[in-house]
Amino acid sequence: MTCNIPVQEGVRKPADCKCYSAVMRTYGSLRDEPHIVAMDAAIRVYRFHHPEDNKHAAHLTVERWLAEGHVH
Amino acid sequence: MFKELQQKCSAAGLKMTGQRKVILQVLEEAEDHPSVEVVYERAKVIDSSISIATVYRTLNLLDELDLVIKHEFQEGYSRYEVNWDHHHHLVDLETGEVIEFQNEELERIKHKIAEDLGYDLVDHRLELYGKKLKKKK
Repeated sequence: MTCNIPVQEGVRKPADCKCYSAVMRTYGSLRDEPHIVAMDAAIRVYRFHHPEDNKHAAHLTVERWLAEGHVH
Repeated sequence: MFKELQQKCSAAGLKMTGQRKVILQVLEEAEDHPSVEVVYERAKVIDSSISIATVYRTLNLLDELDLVIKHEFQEGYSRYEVNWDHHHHLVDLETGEVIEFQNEELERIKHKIAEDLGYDLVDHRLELYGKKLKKKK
């Protein structure tokens, strides 16, 4: 299930991996919903792919991906 | 979302004047269920020329066209929210695909749960998360 994206300072880097596209797709599809709802859904998708990450690390990673991906 | 709301109004035959657009903007941005007075206060910040009579008339028109939902919370006044098509989401955990769905049985159950607990259901949120079932060979 995991995708071996390298971890750097507690944040995984986006790479050519289905978890990244799934996370971004979820958030993008829910962009008309309140940010917290879309974010929560994106984190749940991320944690499905990375159950080894704790909540805080998952939140940090998804937040960074969204900021860098200009989905906001 | 705002554009979608404007399109709905135009499709319903409502002429989109500047002041009506301001009122729609207030309703679209509201995360609560504002009363006429609250809509008026918020609209005035955007366009100070708006009168409370315009807000009343516009909300009544939107209500008649079924574009807003008028809530009577037994407070002596009405509260309004945009009547978006009510739906829920199912998120495919593997791909991130988000599927919108509607289900009458679910609607009934939600109201029944609230009623059984002694409440009138006012609002709720529900997201389902799942993995696609594998087809049997």
